[in-house]
Amino acid sequence: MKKLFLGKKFYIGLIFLFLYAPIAVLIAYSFNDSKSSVWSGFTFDWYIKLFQDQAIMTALGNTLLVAVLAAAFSTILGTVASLGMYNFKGAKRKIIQTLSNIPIINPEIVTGMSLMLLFVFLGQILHFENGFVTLLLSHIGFCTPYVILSVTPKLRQMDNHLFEAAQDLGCTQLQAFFQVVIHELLPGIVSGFLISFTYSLDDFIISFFTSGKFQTLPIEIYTMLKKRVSPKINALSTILFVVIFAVLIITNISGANKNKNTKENNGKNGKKMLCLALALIILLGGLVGYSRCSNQTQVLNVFNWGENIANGEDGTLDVIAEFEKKYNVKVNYNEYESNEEMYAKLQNESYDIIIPSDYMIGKLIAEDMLLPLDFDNIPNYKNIADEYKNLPYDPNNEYSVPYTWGVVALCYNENMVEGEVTGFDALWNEANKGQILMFNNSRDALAIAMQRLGLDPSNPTKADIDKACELLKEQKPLVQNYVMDQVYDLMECDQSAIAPYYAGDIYYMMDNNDSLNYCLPEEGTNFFVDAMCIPKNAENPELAELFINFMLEPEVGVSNSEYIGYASPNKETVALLDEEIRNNQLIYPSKEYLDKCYMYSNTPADIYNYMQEKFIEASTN
Amino acid sequence: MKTKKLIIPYILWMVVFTLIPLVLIISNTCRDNNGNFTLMFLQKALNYKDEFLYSLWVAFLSTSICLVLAYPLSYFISQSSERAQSTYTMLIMVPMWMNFLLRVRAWVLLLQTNGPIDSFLNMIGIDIPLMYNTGAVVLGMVYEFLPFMILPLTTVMGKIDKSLIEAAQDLGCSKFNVIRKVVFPLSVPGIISGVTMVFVPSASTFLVSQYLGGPNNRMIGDVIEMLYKSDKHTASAIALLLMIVILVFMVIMNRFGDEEAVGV
Repeated sequence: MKKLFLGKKFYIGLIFLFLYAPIAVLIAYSFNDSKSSVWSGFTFDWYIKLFQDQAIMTALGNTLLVAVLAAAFSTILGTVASLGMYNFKGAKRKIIQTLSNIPIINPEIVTGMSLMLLFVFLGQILHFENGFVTLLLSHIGFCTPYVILSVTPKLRQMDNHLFEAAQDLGCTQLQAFFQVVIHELLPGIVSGFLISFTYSLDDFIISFFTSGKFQTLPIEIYTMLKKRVSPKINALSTILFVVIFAVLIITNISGANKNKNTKENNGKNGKKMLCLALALIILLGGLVGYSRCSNQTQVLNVFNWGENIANGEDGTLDVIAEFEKKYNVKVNYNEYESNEEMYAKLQNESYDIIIPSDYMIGKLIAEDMLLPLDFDNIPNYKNIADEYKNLPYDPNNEYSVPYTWGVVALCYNENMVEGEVTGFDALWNEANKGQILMFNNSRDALAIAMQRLGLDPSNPTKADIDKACELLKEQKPLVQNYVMDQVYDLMECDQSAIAPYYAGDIYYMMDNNDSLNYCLPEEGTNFFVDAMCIPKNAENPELAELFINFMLEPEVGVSNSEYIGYASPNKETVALLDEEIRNNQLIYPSKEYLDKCYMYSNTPADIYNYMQEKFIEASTN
Repeated sequence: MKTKKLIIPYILWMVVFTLIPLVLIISNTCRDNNGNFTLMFLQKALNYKDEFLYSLWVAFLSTSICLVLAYPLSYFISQSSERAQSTYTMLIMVPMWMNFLLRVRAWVLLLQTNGPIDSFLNMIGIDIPLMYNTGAVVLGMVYEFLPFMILPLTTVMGKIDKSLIEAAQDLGCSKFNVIRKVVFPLSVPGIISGVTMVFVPSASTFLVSQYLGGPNNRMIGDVIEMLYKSDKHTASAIALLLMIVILVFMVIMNRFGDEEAVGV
């Protein structure tokens, strides 16, 4: 008997170890004195920086706001619906119930996509954009069925005569309803509310499709994936974890003291839970509100790559905050993780500033989606070096102002890689089997394959794409994984031998792992420019030009350059940079090398779709 | 109580936010950009049948493992005192409040070569690849969705009348037989809802396999995520097929029990 008891404890312990081990890791890394996942000392810094980070605090506030509202609305809608459903019997009831369960049964990705289609469809008719309202509606949509599922059983348990008895004893119908029926249903209502709140808080997939410009925390984290997830997020999770744990312990202790097991107390317990949960939400909400109270009137909508602007860390300027302060405006800052995602969002939403890459700018110009810039309002344009003006994607330089540039290079681990690394051939070297990483991005992956085949990657044909995909299929057995952001963890923690990636990012990886080195492929490589543009549907183009001009200030450029790690086209900025960076061949390759490189040009939609489709086919099972 | 009318707002809601979106998915699947009827996109979607089958296989493995792990745990929990029960339930729910992307990333750090688990296994002489295989993907899924199995099972088992178990023991049932003949049949609704709640998301979620799996472990959710930006039609077609597969699965599951158990 004793032995069995021990076995049981051991088993329960093991399961909880399994559930909590990753949480422990997550908390541990919130104290890591480095942005990478290599442990480099203990620090509390991320907790301080967290509260200074407007984007995260705004996202947190938004997340809580949506969660509270979604939970409240779906609790009301669901409770009312359960009461209505209660009187239906047989087939009708079954139909309603099945319909109601669809959002639960349906894969989230299907629900998300279908709602996106709905909102885009309605948006075109009624002229609205995806955002707070659409996000809230979709959250109410997937939360309500859970409320119904938790209220309905309580409704069944309730004695129908109670309602009548209350009325007999002199209650009005309304009184009877609120004092008797709602009281009886309260535990179900409370648990419905809590389930809704929980689901809404952590929902990523559905929000991803329906949130538009509105940033919530899970989406913020997802966009960070393009670069690296900041330990600030770990710090935030740790705080949430501690708070939740504290609340649960308090409720558990106070609950256990007062009631043993009576049914009536269930309701009281629920009420208490609800009060505590609300208190917690108000506390967090207040905190967030405090950190972002502002009274500016003009709003600038900026849509940028994840982690692509200095935010005040590591001695840099907080560029957005500086701009807001200087011109007394509010910047609404949003992030994306690929040109294609930006393009998809631009179809239904308006932004004042976007920072796409070269070929995407070409596409946007071709589709007449950009506003010609008034360079009189951007005097700092003179700071841009001539090499970065009039590039093929914008031949007369009417629509764009370059922001950063770079090349695709190879990063390798000196202790792990076999053979000499001189060019992209190394990615097909059998000796490195299972330790080769490859881009999980059709454009960059196919370009490398085309270079090896001697094809021109800047403007591929369908036949080129087919050939390149064959080569990728040949490479596939050697590939450890197709990655984007995971490349940081994998290279920095000695998990992979070699990977192609963007020069500025490789520089950062090398900073975190001494065994890493870089190689500029001898055959040349992709040279890319990200540039600031103003879309046609911008609401505030003058302010946007002011912003572009501000970004071209030499000191602002230095901060951005230091934070992002990519090369700057701003000659005044470059002159202010450390000599070590300025002369770094990885970030600022020589003119001779750049002459060997090529740029992507605008690819027609059907070719791009073909590329995407073929790449998925070549890189998956 | 005459409350039938109260259902009206919800019916309207469901029409707008459930039915019309589904119709839009179907219309996106069957019509090209010019509005002409075509089956091309469905055909294209079928190119990804390997990812489909693989996703179902991963979902099957994850669900089975969740069930095996959760069943005894839920039984132990349901047998403990009420206070312990609520504590355990809380402890199981808390990890779900942490962002799921961060938790998956944490697993990468735990499982990587020379990471804590790999080092430990090497020390005791086991050298197996921990990442970039189906095992790692399944582990990620089990981790993400285990609470969805434990919670309904615990709820259902907690409701089993203790006197039934005592009666069975009094009548000479062995411990094993008590579970087999009393607890198990009564816990079937919990099993069904648990299986559904684990199977559906693990067949369709994305990102887990991108982090823990290798190039041969892509799942259908990842394909939709990669495709929807460039080709909404094929993405809709895949979504539609996925939905049909899941619905068929639900119908089969419901044959085993009362449909109201779903999603307890």
